[in-house]
Amino acid sequence: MWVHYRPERLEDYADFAHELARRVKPRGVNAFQLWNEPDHRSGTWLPGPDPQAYAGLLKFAYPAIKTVNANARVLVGGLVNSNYEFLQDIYDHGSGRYFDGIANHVYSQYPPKTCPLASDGQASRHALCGISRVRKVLNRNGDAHKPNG
Amino acid sequence: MGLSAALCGLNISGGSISPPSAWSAMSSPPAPGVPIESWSPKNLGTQEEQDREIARLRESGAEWVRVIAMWSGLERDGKGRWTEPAFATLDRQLARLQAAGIKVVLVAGPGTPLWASADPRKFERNAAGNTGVGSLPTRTPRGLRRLRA
Repeated sequence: MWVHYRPERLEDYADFAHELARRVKPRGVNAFQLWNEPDHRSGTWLPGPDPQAYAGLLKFAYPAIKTVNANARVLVGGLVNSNYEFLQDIYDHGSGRYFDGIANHVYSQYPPKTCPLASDGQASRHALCGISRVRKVLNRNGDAHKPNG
Repeated sequence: MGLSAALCGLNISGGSISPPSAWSAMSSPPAPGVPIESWSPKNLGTQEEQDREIARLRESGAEWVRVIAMWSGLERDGKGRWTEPAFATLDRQLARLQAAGIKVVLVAGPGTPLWASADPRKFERNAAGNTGVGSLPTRTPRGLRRLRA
């Protein structure tokens, strides 16, 4: 169920998101996470994570939701373990305007005792270690007001 | 917020999301948060179980719940062919949560339906009677096996 390919046409997803937002509006649903863990390497975006394609998904789906619910808040994500690199890629592909906040999937069942450096010398994204990195990426791209949850 | 949420969250199956506290458009700012793992038709249980779970959520102080809306369930058979029973199930869930005063982050997708999938073998799967809607039920692609090993 959770391992499958990405959509072929991102417009198809946007049309789905539009219909979904329209139908749930009477139930007071105003918060949407677009996809689930698109940055997961063996997850729901086979053949593999593709920030450019996901940035495109945001570009199509964000306005599709807003046209039926102007109050909707649209979230990126959920990013796997504070994946601030994927987030920066989304900005680099020009989709910074197409989300209102971050859904951050912090896998807190594996809390490290410290925040070790990864092999590339970057601070570990693991568990809670990367949250401040996500914040930095948001701020650096002019989105200090957007929540990182 | 992310920190407190991740620390005190009820995190049953791994993913978590914290309440988007900075959102002024929300009716009330959520208290420091208890993120709740996802509801989807597969783990919903009976009506009685749902009622008990909602009661437990309220007891815990949770104000938000994350609900999964699988695309493959809701637009299963082709573009614009909405799977009405699935929408009805979703609507019942949302109605219960609304009645309980619990706010919802709706996960729009994943779950690419087979008709919309970039799966290079989707026609083959379809011909084999697998309307398993974008999942990969039979074989793990070689690349994926390697990733997991």
